Amino acid sequence: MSKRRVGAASKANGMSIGRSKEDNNLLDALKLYEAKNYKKSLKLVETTLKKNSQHVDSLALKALNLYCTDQKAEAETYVQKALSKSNVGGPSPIGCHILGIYMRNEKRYPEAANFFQTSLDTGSTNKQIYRDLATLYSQEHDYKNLLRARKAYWEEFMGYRANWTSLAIAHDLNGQQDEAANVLTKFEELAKGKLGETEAYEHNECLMYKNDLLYRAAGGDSEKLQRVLKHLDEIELEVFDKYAWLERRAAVYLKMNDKQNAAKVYRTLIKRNPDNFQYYRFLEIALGIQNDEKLKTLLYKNLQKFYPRAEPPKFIPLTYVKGEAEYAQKLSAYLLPQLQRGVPATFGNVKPLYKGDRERTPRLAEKIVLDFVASLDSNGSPLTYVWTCYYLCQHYLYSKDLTKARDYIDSAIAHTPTLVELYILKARVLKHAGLLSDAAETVNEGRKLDFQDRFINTKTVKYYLRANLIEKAVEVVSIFTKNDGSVNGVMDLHLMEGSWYVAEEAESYYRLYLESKQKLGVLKASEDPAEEEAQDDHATQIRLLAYQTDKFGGLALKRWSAISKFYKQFKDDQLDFHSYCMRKGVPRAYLEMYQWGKSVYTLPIYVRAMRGAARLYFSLHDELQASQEDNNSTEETPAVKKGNKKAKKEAAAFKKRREDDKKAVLAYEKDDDILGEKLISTTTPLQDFAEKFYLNYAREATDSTRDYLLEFEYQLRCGKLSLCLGALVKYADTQGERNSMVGAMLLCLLDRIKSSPQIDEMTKKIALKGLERHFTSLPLDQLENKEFDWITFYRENYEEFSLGALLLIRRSLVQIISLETVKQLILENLGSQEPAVQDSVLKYDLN
Amino acid sequence: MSKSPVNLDNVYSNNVGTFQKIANTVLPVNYPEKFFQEQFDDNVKNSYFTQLAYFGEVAVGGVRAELISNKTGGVKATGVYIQILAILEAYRGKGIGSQLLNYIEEQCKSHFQHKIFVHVAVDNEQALQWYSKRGFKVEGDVLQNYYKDTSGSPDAYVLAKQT
Repeated sequence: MSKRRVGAASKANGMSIGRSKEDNNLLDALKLYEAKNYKKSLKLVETTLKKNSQHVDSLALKALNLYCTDQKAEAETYVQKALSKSNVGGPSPIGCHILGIYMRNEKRYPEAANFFQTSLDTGSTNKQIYRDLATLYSQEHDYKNLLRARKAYWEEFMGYRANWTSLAIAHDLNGQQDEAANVLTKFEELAKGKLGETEAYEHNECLMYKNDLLYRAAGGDSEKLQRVLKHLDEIELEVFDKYAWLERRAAVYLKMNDKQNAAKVYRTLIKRNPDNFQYYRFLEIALGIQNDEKLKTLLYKNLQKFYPRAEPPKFIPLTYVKGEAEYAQKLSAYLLPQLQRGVPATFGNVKPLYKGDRERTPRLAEKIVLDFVASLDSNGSPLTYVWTCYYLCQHYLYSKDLTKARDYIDSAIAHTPTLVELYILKARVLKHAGLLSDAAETVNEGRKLDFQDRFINTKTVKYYLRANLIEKAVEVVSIFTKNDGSVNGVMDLHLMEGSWYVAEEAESYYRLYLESKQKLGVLKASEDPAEEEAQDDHATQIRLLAYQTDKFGGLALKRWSAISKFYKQFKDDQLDFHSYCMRKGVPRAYLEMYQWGKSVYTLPIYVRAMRGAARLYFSLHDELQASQEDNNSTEETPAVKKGNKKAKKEAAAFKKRREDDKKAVLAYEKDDDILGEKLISTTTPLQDFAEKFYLNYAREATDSTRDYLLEFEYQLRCGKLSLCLGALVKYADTQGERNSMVGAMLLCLLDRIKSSPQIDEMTKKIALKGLERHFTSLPLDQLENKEFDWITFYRENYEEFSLGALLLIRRSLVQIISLETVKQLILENLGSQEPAVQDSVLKYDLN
Repeated sequence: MSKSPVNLDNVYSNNVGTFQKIANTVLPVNYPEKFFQEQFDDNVKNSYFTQLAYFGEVAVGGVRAELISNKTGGVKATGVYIQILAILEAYRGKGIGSQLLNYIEEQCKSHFQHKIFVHVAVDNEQALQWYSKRGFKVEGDVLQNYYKDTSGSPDAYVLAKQT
């Protein structure tokens, strides 16, 4: 989209007579470049360079052509050459523009912006550059410069509405709502009566956006709010988004404390869409009855009559009714019709009540549904029966009564074995019981009922991955992917940014890594067998396991990094929208996206991948530290004996295996580290973690969303104790000073202060001072006392150990408490956990 | 409900698993995977009539019959032979089986056949009654050891109906 604009420049400049031959050649080459004739353009540039290797613009264009013909490494060298010539006068405006485009392609946006700006400053007459510049500033969230660029562009091309809209948005982003509204108003005046039907939608969006601006500028000022209302009246006929229009109206009334009118508008909104819960909440507020149970009951009784098919009037009363008898009656009136009709989502509908009212709802619902199921004839109304069993299974699963849950789901399946939902639920029950492979096979059984069903296909894949059966998962997932050029769907899933899959696979590889590492440890520790034959076998086994361990770990990191790349891509993909949305005239949607774009790296899957990667990177770091401490532990996998026929054969088999593995896990078309071996063999794990994951997150997370535990663990390994303390204090602020995790973090920190040789005394002293200030009750004077019992101290001062807290202490390798004691405490704690958690902790955390 | 909750639909290669599940749940005979794949195999030239019956949206029954014309049949009698007709237990007595049988009878007519026949295990009282109520009569002697892989009786009657 950008390429054409260089042409505009060439035309403007091409008119001047008396240019050097080089420059004329360059203009011809540019034309070829614009026509995507990169190779011809390259040739032409090269003839110039042969005669004059100092021609900066030609160097730049050469780089750009090389970049477009996929020779990125060479391209970069020519860019460097061009830049190094800047003492000879530097690139011309056109050259700067070319370099800017190159930088933008390379996603080096600030540099690109610099070159574009220089091109303009040194006299380029190509005003289109302002638009590109604005795009780049938008991407970088540089609002001040954005406004400047938008304004300059707008001054040049006032004939387009898009430029007015983008100027308004730029003002808005700079906090100048009034100016923004004025720009929009000016355009409206100019365009009055000249808008065709095709522009009506854009017009409506811009009008509503202007109202947004007025509303935000108004704050609590009632005079200004009146103006917002007046504006709403003016634009009513031209606005298509009636919901937004009405919602704004209601919001203004509420702000002006005109509750009567607000209530009226909310009733209109409910009439338009009786299934939106929010409108009901607002109606309560407008009526001023949110704390009056009686009046609310009356309100919802009436609303139920008006809207008998709507969900909220039936459901909302359940969220506030206090009296148990009345509640039971209402709950039953809510549940039974749904069960009778065989609504699969019945449990899902009441789950918020289970959560909100932990004791009462489960108890009452259980009785209601059990009575109901007892009254059923399983043949008379078979579907009702089956879905009621389905409900009861979910109920018992929620209450952690896995035996009963299984009974009900088994009888449902025996009754109607053709219902796929039943298999999914059964698998869920089995999963909680820790039977991961059985769970996977169960969903697979359901999948066989209908191969077309992608949902169940996906579920099956997920369950296989949870059970660490990656090969099966890949086989099943590949049914729905595009597999050309690859033996399976893994590459396609990367291309399609299927983060759910990539994240699950990463975790699966990570578990396999832990398993295989543990086996390797056992094998290495075992005695070398006496016989030579057996010795060889032993060595081979160790080599194989070492390879597998590295492969699994490498692939885990590889997949997690892939997720990081996806999110980077999401960021970069915004670039096109900074101009596209203006042309389409959708400022409201654009701003929504723009705000979303500010916190892409705090979205759940990214955070999940980051946490996963943190585990692995942290343990790599800890291992490196440990091996540095005792230098003699240079353990190596036994080398292959050469010359031996058997060994040769073995080496060949091993090589083949590696190649097969590579084919099966290939994620990108061109990749020089398919198995992630480079990733896992890093010598700077903390730095890798920071660059690939953490810095992005840390930049975007806000005080309220930040994961302070992760921050703590990261800084603990970096040796930055005062940052650790900062995270700890924040954590304690939100979770309470007696929180068990806070206790665990304190122990970790004290441990480092006491026994970490890598950290200098100054840092430790500062941290100690900080601890003294924030946690006054800490027995800091006992730190040197070897006899002091920190467990007792903990027990006296903090909530009972949570599993998370114990695991933190364990993986932080704390020395002030013996490892054995921590292990014992974890085992005790596991007694109260569900089987799935027990299994996972025993298998992956305690080994 | 004004519309009948029961609907019939074809069996496709993607959901033949559902059909298989019903057959193997209801019938004591264990049919192998291959048997169900037959009708989608281009190399198998026989014609089959298969349907799944849905109650609401749930598949609860199915039928599969083979057309045996005198050209290919050789020793077998010509007509339509019902290989499987099964309804999940909880969904019986709702006319689903009759609908499936109707379907077969229609196919019979449109293929100019006059005879439907079926094998029923001698100990399957319910099925014997069901078929005789619908005009089927026992034909010939009991076939000894007809079913191989079954948990019920291995002997079978031949029932037939002229249309």
